Amino acid sequence: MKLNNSSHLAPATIICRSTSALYSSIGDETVLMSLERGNYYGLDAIATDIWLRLEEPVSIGDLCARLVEEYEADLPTIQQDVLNLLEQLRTEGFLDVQDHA
Amino acid sequence: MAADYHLCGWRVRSDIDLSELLPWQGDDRSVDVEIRAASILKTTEDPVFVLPHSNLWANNDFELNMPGVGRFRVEAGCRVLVEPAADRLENELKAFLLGSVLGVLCHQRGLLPLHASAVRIRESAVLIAGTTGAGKSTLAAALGLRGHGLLTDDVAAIDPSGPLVLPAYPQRKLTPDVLDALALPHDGLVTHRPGQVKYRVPLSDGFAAAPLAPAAIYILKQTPLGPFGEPVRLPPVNAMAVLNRMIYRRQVGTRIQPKAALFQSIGRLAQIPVYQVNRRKGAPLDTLDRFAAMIEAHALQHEC
Amino acid sequence: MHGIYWLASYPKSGNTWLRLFLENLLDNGNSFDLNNLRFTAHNAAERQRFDRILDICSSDLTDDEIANARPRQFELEAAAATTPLLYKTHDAWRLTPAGEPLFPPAVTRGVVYLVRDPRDVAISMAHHMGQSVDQIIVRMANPQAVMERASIRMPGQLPQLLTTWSGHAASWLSAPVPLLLLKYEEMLADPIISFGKAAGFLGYKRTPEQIRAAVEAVRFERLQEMEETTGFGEKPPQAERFFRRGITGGWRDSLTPEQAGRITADHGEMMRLFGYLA
Repeated sequence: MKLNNSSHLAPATIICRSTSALYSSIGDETVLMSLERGNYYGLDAIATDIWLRLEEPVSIGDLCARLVEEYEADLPTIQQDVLNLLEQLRTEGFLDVQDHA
Repeated sequence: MAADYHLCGWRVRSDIDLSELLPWQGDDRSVDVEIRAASILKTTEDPVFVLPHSNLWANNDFELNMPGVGRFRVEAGCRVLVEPAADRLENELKAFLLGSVLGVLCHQRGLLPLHASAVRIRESAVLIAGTTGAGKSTLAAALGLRGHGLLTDDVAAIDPSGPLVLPAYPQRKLTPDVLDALALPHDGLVTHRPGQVKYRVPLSDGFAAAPLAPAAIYILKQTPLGPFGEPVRLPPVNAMAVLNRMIYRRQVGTRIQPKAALFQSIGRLAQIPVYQVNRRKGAPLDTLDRFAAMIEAHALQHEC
Repeated sequence: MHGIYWLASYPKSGNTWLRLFLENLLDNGNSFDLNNLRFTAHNAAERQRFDRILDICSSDLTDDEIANARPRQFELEAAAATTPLLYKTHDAWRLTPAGEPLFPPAVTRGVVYLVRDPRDVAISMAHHMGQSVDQIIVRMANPQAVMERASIRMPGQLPQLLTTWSGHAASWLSAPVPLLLLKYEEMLADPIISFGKAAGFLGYKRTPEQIRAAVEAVRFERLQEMEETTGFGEKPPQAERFFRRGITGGWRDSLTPEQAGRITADHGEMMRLFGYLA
């Protein structure tokens, strides 16, 4: 899994949790800590749900499709929210982004 | 002449007098922690982490050097060597044995030591955390007068697997004006260190001697306005960040324990509700009882 | 290594005012929160900071042990800093009990020393500490005077040795470090020149307009309003307000001739040096 901080996040992009990300579940929220940077980051209930789905590599497209079913929301809204979250996770060092072939 | 004491559930055998600790009255098991007066030989290896008074080696052996007081070596969470400086009173060594040394023992044993007092409210522990001078001991003493036993005054040793708060010893550090406000006598008390204001105040009864699960954690914060505010629940990320800052002997501890383990320990503790409580800096002591009453009422709302 | 600038003064001599000016200047004119300063919050005697940097509990140490350890704290911070640090202090410049400078010259980039007519300082200090002017006059002449003596619970600051008002000034003026002297009276009379000099000395390149705007932002009345609204953590419990009057020469209305005479007798030499005695 190559770490790539600059590639554009697209539906075909494969993402997964960073191996240096520690997390702790508290209630229905999650607190993340980067082993590399030592910074703490909080995820609310929905972001937690997304985080749990990143345990194994998944494409952004597949992730969004499953969330559309789960939350009965429209795809553009889901995509926007997911991309925002993934960008933040990447900036904070919690996300691995695989170069797609 | 060595004696056996109880500290955080350990059987401690010590050459140095530690009579503020409860004598060991538990089972007949082997000694958990040994404290010996001995010459400390210089190690051949260099330490991996160095601060002006502290050295840490790769195998997690730790040394504290207090010029004019003594040198303390802490190994494997079970062995403490003390080399007092010439004609140093045993009393002076205690501040470090029951402070830094205790903290490092906790870290070496995978426990989580925090800057916190803890009292027993019904069947649970309530932690009162905060920086030096925030009023932890004072609040714990005021809660003591309301009938809530003391588990620990200064360093709260937490077993993260419970989590459980481990009882330390029946003594607290209080200033003369707090003693007056709580109608406690001053006679025969010694200060913690020479020239200091806080006394070491033994607790004749009201010590909670068994480990207890925590029900609530209060972080005291000093503010300019007051006298005090209602507890405000901290969101999980803030709760963990605050608890992280409250780790006792933090720089050394975060190098003794793996980061992942410490994070998980804090995570387990943060399952317990964590509240911030504002208290005005220098608030008059006549508001102390009302403050304690508020905390007591708030704590009782939890499953204690 | 970038080193440390010490913003040093005897209490009630304009230190906070200078720091609030710098706060506004360094934050590019953004309004600041009195109780949440971000650029100029470092206090050389802050207990929590000492504990954190040295990973030790100052509450387990004697005053001598604390003093001996403080140079180590400053060295560690200077070594780790990526820009020059600004530290406020009321300590006199002196040697620790172990015999070395409390403020190591090797990590000192410079000092801004603020001074104010001791007769006005006496009035201001009396209000700040909730004591009589006579008690303050004695204190200002006491070579062992210490600020924040740990007599009321455990204050957030380590003990700071003031020595006498004259001794304090003399100690800093004779310290082997680059020094800019600022007089409170000049700050009041011509703030743009005085604060501008300070900004320049501390290495901040700003336009005259930026200096002017920052001076305006910390006008005394504004600071009083802020304190009314949010309180100010630097105000001790016994003082009514921190930003009380902010004038010079107020001593003429408030000191008896006998009190003024005593101050002049105690500190005449330094007062003459600073031009406080005609």
